[in-house]
Amino acid sequence: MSARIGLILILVALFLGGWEFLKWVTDSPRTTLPHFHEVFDYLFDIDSQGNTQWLAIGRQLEVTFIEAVTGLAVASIAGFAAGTMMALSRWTGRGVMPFVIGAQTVPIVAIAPALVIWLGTGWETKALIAGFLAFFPIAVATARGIGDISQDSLDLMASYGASPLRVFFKLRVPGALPYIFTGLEVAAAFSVIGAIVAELPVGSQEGIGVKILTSQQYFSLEPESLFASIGGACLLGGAMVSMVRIVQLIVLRGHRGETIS
Amino acid sequence: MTTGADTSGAGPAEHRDWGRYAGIIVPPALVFVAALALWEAAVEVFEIQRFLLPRPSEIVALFFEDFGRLIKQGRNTLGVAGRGLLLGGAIGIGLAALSFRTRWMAEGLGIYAAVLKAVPVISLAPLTVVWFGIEAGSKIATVSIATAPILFTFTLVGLRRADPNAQELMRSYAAGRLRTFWSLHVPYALPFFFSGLKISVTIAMIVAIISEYFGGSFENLGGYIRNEANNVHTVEVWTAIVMACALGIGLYMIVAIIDRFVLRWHSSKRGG
Amino acid sequence: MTTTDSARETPPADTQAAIAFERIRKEFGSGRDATLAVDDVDLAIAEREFVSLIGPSGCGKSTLLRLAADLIEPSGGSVLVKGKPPRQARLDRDYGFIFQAPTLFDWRTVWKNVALPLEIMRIPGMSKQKKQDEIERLLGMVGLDGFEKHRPYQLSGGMQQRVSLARALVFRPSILLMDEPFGALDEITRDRMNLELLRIWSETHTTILFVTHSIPEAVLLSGRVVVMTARPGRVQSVIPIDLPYPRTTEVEESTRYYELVTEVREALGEAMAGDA
Repeated sequence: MSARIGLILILVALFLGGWEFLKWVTDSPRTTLPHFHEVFDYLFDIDSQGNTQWLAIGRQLEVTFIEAVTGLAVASIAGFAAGTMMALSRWTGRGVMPFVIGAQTVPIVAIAPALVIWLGTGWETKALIAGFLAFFPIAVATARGIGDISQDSLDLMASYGASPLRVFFKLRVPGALPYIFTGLEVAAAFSVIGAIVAELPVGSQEGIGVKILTSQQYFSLEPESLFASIGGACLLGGAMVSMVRIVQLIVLRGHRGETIS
Repeated sequence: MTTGADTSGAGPAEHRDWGRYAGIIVPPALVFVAALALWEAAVEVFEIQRFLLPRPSEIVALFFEDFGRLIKQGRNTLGVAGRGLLLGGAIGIGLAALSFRTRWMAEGLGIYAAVLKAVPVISLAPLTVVWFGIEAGSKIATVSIATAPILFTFTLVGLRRADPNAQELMRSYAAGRLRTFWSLHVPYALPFFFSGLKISVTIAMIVAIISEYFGGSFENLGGYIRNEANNVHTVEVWTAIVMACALGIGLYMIVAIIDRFVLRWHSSKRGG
Repeated sequence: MTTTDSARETPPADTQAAIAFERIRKEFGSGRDATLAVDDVDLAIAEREFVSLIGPSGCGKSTLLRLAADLIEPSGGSVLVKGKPPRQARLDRDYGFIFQAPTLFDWRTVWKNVALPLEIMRIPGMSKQKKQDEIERLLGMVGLDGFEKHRPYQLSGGMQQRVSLARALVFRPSILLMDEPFGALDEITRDRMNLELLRIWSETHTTILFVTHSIPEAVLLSGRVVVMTARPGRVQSVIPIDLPYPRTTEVEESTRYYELVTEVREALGEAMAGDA
């Protein structure tokens, strides 16, 4: 474990070193690549409202976080239900699965504006869009996990005269959990992307997506703001995925460690 | 729900030939037609305004009318997605091939890949614009940032999967590193690589469109969507969505077919 | 030499057979692709009898077992388990099934794996304490004290199969259906498991129908060995094993044992010859 922490520290150092090296080697001006410490210092500058910048960014992150988490929660329930139906009913599976894969290719940017017009610019709309994006990985992973149970295990349950409900809760669900968590991890990252994309259409006031857009507009004056905002968005993504990982570690304590599907 | 008891070893002979293909094609086709009919009816019954949700019939009509332009825009988007995927693949697969023998290197790169997968890639789009310009360059960069970690992880897992017995066998033949790599590790990695590629193609398409949406030329699907959405031309937006989906599904299917063809020998592909 | 009842060899007509196959037929698939797995098999297994099925692969041994367990349905003929249709017997939890693979649930501890059938079945008059005592007793019996908290994948193959055995016994089924349970184990572990199984059989008074590939194993364990032919699966011959119970490894050094092994081997040879 401590070796891993050491490795992560080395990786962070490599990243920062790489950043500064790149700046030095390409001789980039501040408006292309500021020094890392300049971005760091910027966090403690005071903005027009008299707040420190890190607090201002933090507030926007909080908004996006709530959108993403709500979306992820809704997507988990809907995705689990849909995945289960696809796995257990042959016709639903065959009829719907191609669309679940196809729908992932729907450019979310294209329907986000329509949804915003439709449902308003409130955070709920953004949570819905975040949930839309998070739904597919969960549904696909659930369908695979619930469906991928060995015949022997099913025969065993049958030999106990177990009811379908028992088979579902004692065998299929626990057997599917590793798959579902792999899907959830992807979904957590997607939910942040969905929330940010949903914040982009005009009319949005809040969220880290808005912050990134405004920082982009003032980039030549204050490039650190864009770097700090993007950094914040990355941290948010990392936090969401880590959250899922922690839940996974707790829930899957006994499972054999095998995560990639 | 299937019952636990229903395990009457379904005969392999029941679904054969055209019957089998019909089983794959008919249910989704039915669902598709039903969904379109429901959509059309909903617009009619609830009198949904055209700019909110147009009728499918209207979208289809305009889609064919604008087909020439949509194809041209689609080709540009496809070019960005494809080149980004190539670059991301080269980086991801290259790093996996370089690092899979060295534990600490694979683990370190693995952490970077995990972080990149958690990062909302589109938030990087404004930065890539600064570095690589507003046109294709920045978009290709964003696509490759999104796809490289996926292909890296899948390829790495596959390369490391090689049967230890087979590795010893290769050693006993005194096979060189390169020989072992091509005849042992690569075949083991291929199924994983293709799983990663299937995920990557859809993601490449989405990321390409989103980064086009961020700015630059209008002569691609993302730019077109941005322009038409700003003017509340909803039907036009939907035709672009249809084109994007068609291209995305097409790409996915091409990869799936190559996958089937290349991995005929592989056990997971036998017997349906 | 024992002179005990001949009931071990053929079940008397007046007592009900534990398992009775009558003119049983099983086809897989349909039309041109159909394969006849089992054809016209008559076989009765008496209460408390230990019967082994042996034969070349594809002879339908496992199919017979699965027919008795109602995991598949016959294409013709009938199976009765304790005088009932297999489905009823399955719902009444009359038998425990042991697969070639241990089929343990990775996410459960050894203890919880053994407890699984008790969670699913409602067994009248079995208190929580009694259940716990029973699991403890069984884990002791299969030699797994101290491994209660382990996960299946932390155990060796032999230990996993012993967990599966304890799991099959925990709800006290009167019949055990065993599908090459020790086939994947090494010789030494297999010998030990065989002796344990004999001891458990004599202690629990269960009926056992046992599918195996191994001639010595079949002779060591069974009261009767049923030799089957392949394609289609038919009964070639039934060989009574008149070695006295309780049996130990010493049995394997007796002349009679060698004679019986040879007899089974020859019958099996004929079965294979018919196949070619």
